[in-house]
Amino acid sequence: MRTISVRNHVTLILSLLLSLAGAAQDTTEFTSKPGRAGRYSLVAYFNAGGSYYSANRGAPAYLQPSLRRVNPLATVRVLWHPDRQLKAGLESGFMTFYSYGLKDSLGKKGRVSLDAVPVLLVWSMSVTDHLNIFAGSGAYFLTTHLDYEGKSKASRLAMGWMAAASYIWPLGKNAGLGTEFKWMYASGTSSGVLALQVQYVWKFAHW
Amino acid sequence: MKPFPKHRASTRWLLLLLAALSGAQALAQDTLPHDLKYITFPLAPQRPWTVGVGITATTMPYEVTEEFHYQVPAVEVQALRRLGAGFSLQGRASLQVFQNYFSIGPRWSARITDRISAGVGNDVAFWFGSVNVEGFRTRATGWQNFPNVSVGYRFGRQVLLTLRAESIMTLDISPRAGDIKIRDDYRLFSGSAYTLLLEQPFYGRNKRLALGLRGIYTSSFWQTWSIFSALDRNYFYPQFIACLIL
Amino acid sequence: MPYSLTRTTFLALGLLLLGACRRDFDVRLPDNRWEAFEAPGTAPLGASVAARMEGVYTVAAGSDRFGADAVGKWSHTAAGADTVFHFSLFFGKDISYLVLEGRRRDSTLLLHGYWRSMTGIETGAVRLTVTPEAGGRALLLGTAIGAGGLVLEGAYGDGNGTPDRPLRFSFDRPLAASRPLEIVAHRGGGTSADLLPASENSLEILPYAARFGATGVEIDVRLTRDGVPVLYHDATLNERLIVKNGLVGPIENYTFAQLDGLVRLVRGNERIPTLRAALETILTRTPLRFVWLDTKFDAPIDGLRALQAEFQQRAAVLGRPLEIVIGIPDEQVLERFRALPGHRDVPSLVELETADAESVNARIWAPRWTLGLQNDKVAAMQAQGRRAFVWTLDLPENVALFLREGRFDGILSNYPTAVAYAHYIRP
Repeated sequence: MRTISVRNHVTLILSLLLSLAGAAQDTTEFTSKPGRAGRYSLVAYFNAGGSYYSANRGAPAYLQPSLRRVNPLATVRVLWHPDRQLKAGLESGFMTFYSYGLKDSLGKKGRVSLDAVPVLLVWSMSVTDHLNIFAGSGAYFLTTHLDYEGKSKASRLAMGWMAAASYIWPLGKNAGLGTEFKWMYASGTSSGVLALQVQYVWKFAHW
Repeated sequence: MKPFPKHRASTRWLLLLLAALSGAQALAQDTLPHDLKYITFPLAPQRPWTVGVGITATTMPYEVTEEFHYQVPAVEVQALRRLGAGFSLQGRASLQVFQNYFSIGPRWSARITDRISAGVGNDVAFWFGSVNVEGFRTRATGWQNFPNVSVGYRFGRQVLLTLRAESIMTLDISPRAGDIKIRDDYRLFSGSAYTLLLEQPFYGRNKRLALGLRGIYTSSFWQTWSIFSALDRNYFYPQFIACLIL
Repeated sequence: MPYSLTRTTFLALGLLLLGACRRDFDVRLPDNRWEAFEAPGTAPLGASVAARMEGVYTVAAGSDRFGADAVGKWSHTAAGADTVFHFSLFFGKDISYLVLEGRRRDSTLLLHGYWRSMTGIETGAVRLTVTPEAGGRALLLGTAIGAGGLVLEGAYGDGNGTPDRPLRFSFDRPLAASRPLEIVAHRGGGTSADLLPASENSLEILPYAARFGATGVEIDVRLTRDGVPVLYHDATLNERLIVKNGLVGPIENYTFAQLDGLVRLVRGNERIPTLRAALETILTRTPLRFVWLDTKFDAPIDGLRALQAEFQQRAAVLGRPLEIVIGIPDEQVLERFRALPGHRDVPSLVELETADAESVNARIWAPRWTLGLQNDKVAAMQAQGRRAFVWTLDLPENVALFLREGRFDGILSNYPTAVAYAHYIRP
């Protein structure tokens, strides 16, 4: 039952993306490579996928943790594509760095989740017609959700980075579907994830 | 819509990886464009003046700044002046209003092959800072010296990569607090810095962008003067550099 | 070109990843046993012997590491019959010091411990001996000791290595009976960044304060979500202070049970202590006579006042000198303090203007050092029967300057050993 429901959702989303792409379809394929001199555009990247918490610290042994390293990650990026190789823009989204179940010295159980909303200034270059690389720095708005001896929630700001590479298959002139491999790192808490995401790219404005 | 190019994609990934690992970059053998703009790349400039503006953001270590583990952006202004005979003069200002840094230094560079060049230089830096808020009336000046070597590699026609290593010499730090002058201890050789920087086309006819990372290992990073730390240990200050070359 | 760019990207990513790796320094107490020190037939040194060793020493061997002279002070960590007496030597070079425990075998004294330089991360073991002829007998008999009448001789080493570099201290003169000075150790003994044997603001750091030459401590007080006063400095939980556990944000967002169960401090896996437990440790285990409660929360301070009164009373019953002051760092806390019943009789320390100190009848006015010596204001406060403390003096040059030209009654420092050296070395 659950599988069917998930499959339905995926089909729905894909159909939506494809119809958007179809609307923008033209004879020329989408590419992040610079076009004619003086041509500028704005491109949105909608990413969803999973992340793997790559740091080896974070859930200390004294809490007998059961660590969940793989968590969902959804991000949105808007880039300005000028008529040169280098692009710039902003990226945000929602992510869980990691979460774990715990047991204290008295056997009391609990759960910790470290979530974040990144706001990053991103630079990008296209390596080939379809392969792009990204790097960014900025802030991660971190939030801890704690359920142990009652519930607590607390937040802080941490600086951090991002680096990614994506391969985009064109879906017409103004859209593409891609996969992105990404590294996100909040230096204030030395928390990092490696992520794999499905990507929908949409050139929504050009002049 | 194109069919899903599964096989082609995986082959391309593999080829890309192999190419990257084997260092196959000998594509074009074209010569240096005559109007190429750069500031850090170790090659005597063709233009009499090159100017850039941007930002540098330095991440401070907890050990020095305590709970304020922050990146402090500074406005960056850079200029390169052609002197002739392989010599050039590089100037830099890093501005944060309450503390500012200026450096200037000659550089001699030479082309080794069509794509590779190298340079040696020496930058002398002066910085000053002043904090005058409630309970904190301090100011300081400092002199530092950065002998450096750079190696540059040109990719294609336009993309310039520079690797630069610097020794950090602290010549003087003179802080004052309220009505007293403090002698701050420092080591002459107080660390080193390593920069990896790309200068590449950005937009318009010839607007270029320099993007780089500088890893500074030092016991005497100028932006930390107001902390008056007694620690004499080299800490790591990663620095992100973005500069628009006008 | 594309392939080359890919390579470049890999390089850039490599550097980013390198940047992500913090270079961690660490210092641990040397793990070095001295069999002679633990051999049967030896007995711990008593308080009177340790006290007679206090004085200014000449560094006859080892001056390249420690400088030309040293100040020797004794202290103790109370534990009933197992009370441990420490003899510490403070130096003028690199903010270095020795902390030693003593035992005797007949009339020979054995001193075993460690040295540390605070500007760097150097440390190592120390073994010293006082032979009967070199002052051991005089110390035990209680006879007067003059210049050269007491010689501590032995060796120091690096890290966990066996001490093999010669070290010799020769007694020069008794400590100067200069004006009294409160030497206040920051955050209970020092900051975690200084890689001390215990974390800042922990119960475990408090006994170290006296070994570092401090006569008092400053501790940072915050309130948990359920109103328990605890010791913690920063506005948020972070890796500077705690073992990484996924908890971020203000300490005030968590209950004490949550913090106690889940948070461990970074140097020695200590728990965040309650203020009550900290005052208990100070009262019962240390010789410290002064406590500065740095109020780091904006909420009613009645609970703080109640603990202050309770422990002042218990100290009085024990006949033990202990002064506990409520620190007032800003206007918000000043308002909270004024709301206390009979606040003018509550011992306090004001970091604001002298007029604020007068308005709440503070015992102590404590300006930040960056405001300078302020001799006129210090004198005005002293004329009103108040004292003046300065914070936070860390650079040895500053400490010397404030002692030489300033008139302060107390100095707060991350390096009480440097303050103790500069204070007691003066003729």
